[in-house]
Amino acid sequence: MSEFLLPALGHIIEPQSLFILLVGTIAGLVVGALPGLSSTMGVALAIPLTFGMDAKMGLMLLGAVYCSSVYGGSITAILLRTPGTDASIATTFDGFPMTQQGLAGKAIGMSTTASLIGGLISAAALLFIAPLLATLALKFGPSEYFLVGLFGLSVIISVSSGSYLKGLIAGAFGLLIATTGMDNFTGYPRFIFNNDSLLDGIPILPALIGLFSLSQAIKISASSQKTIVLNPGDLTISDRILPEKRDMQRTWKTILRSSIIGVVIGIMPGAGTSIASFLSYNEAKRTSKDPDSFGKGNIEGVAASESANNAVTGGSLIPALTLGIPGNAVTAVFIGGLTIQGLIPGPNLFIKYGEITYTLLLSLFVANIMFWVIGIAFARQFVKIVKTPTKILAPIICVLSVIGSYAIRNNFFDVWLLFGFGILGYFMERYNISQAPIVLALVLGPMVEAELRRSLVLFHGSLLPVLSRPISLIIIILIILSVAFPLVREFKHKRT
Amino acid sequence: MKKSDLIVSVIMICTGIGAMIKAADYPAQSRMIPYLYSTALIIFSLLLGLKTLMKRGKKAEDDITAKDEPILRVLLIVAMIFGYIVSIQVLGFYTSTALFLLVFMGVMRAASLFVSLAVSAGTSVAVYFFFETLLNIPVPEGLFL
Repeated sequence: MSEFLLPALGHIIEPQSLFILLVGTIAGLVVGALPGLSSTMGVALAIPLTFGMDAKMGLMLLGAVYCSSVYGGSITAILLRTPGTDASIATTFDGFPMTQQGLAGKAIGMSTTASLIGGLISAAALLFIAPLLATLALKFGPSEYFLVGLFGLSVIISVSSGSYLKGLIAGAFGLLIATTGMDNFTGYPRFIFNNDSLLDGIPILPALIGLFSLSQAIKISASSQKTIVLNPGDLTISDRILPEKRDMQRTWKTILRSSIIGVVIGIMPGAGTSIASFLSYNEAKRTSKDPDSFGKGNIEGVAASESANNAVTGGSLIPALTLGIPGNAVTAVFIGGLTIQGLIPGPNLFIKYGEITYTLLLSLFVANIMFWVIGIAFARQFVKIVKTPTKILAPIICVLSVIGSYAIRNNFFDVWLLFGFGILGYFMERYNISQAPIVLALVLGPMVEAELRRSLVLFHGSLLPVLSRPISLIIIILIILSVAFPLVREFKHKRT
Repeated sequence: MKKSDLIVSVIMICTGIGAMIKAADYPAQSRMIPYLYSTALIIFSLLLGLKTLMKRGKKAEDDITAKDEPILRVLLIVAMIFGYIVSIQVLGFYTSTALFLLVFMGVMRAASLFVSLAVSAGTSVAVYFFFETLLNIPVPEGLFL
């Protein structure tokens, strides 16, 4: 690790890198602050910009968009009770009451600082835990990778909360379309319908951009709302934004605890930013001396939610970079960005491509500091972006989606794929079917199939020998827990 | 009962059956996994269909999305995007993009003609500068620019 750190640090402090990080941070803030535009969409739309960059720059841009978009959601959550992303739902509980009390600046200052600390702790966790997990992954054989793929697919259960059947249908459909293309074992083309552009399978990025960006463009332009937020009114922040010393003294324990919760939840596939912020919020309330003040403008509530959701960012990249498991939709898109640069998640990222990977890891620290500086300095200006007319924003998203899809292979067929997936994504959302299972299935499907078939060849047509391997057994237990946890949680929720 | 769930169920059952019929021609090794996924798709879709039918008679919750996003407006937007994609191969990327933005904003009554012209010209110039000049990312070509 140490041999890569110094060169990586050298890359980050280059003016060009700092500029890229600045662009990514501002773009992420804008996307995050606009309700309806998700972190996933932000990262998906940024990927086309990385084609012309070298791998280090491209990944820095994606990392910066990811980190700052998660923070950006808190701005509208606090000012308008409308979270920019689902990560900031819990922030509305105390952030908006603070705004009503004339303390919007104080709430935004705390959310920005808590997000910074959560983000830095998660970046540190990523830097130290990911290489260890990557070393362990070196001991994995085909059966372990098959099970790791299944572990990733088990996330479908948790991202389909509320309608497991629809989530499973979307997952099975995604897996089915992931079999498109030439079968690597027999060379036989499957589901290509005499179209050579499909021989390499469904290209992942047009599918992702269609599902998350074009579908949103259709949604926001079809909606009757003129601006993304209903009645944005005259938003102003009149009080001091930079947190005071006594507020930091009051909240540091909450921030630290919530950051740790965020990192752990981030590592667990499927849990995600919103669960981390809710759990941390509850924990802050439970341990508070004045729990009744939560929900009425307690600054600790803002600190808990925001430190936790930003702590998820680094945590969620740990399984994504080391094992290729996307724990949520945004890391699935991130993996797409890696593969565009010719990088395959796994131990090799930390050995063969160590300089690139460590540049990304270190750049997350800088990205977190950048969004803090920009957030504190320009929060008053950022509130104005919610007044952007949707009918102007939507066609621009369409144009960017078209360029992004075309640029991957310079193949116009990919633009038609984008169109198809865009319509699919829109109607999925309209009928309350999560798009995330399709993305997870598209990313993990080829890996699961290839490793399953390799394992069957290795074990002469049986999977029973897998049970005698200790690492496999641990992964099987994790799969069972991953499936059972959301089901038990919902069962308990229904009972109460 | 939610009619949309029933429609999703039927479409997905048909997709699963269609995939199985198509995969039947593949060598045994190549069709194993598509068969597995198609079967799963059919089973889950059947369960959704049965679950929906069991709720027959119960009033479904109000579909807020359908009211806020009328299907005719959705189809109009999809048609404009379709037209844009078709026109790129004929007119070229920049001409089509400028036209698409202008038409889209005009049909949606997004802004005045002056603002629409400024946005469409500004976006095309920005795309040219960032993608083609700065990042060397090619854009689709047509007969014109």
